[in-house]
Amino acid sequence: MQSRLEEIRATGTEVLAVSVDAPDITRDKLGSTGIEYPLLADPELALIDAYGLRHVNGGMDGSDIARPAVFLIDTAGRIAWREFTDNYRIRLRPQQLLDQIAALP
Amino acid sequence: MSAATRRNHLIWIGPLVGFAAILSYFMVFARFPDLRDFPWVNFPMALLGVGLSATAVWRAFRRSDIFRGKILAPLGLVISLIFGCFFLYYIFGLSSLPGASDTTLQLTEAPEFSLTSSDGTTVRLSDFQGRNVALIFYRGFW
Repeated sequence: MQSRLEEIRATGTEVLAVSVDAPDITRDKLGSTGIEYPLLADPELALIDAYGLRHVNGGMDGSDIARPAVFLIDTAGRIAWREFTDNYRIRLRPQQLLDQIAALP
Repeated sequence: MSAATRRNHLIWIGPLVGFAAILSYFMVFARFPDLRDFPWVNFPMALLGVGLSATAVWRAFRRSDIFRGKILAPLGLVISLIFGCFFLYYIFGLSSLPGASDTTLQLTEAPEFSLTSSDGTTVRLSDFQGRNVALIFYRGFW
């Protein structure tokens, strides 16, 4: 997503990421990834549960984590598009998101 | 039967290729979406490892006048098969996720949230009024 971030932002879309990791863990690991969009910490899985994305025992240590997914929220606060994978190796390509943003009314 | 004279190098080359198939998937090829989604490079590589090991076994038993390794060659084949099976299991089994929940499928209104960003600031969905938001959920770094 980082590779097309400028294009995505230019469409009037903000990119936010969410995971269970605490902010300091994310900050430590972030340097090597080059990611410039905010990474939000949801250690209690509150938002992850609100989206029904809890993957029980999904973490390497058996803890609960989020399953990968992308939700496109329009300016009215409605979920305009959702994409979730059934295999965590297979992720959304930025072009798919750009296509969906272009298709918004 | 005459004494075998030549070293059967495929005994260790086979498992090595199989190991390289797994390692290079994670280290290199997973960065390319097409090769990550389906391991076009790494599946053939793992298969090649098994093939080389099978050749080593064939040499050790059918060409035992030339090649050594009646014990080590079958062992190498077993190791190559284990690498290959593990890779298949990871690609098609281990990385599979349970079905998406009804909430994920049916949610229509984006719930408000207030979460701490990695730079320490508090971020709310309502901060971005007038803009679309692409909310990406990650498994995280653990």
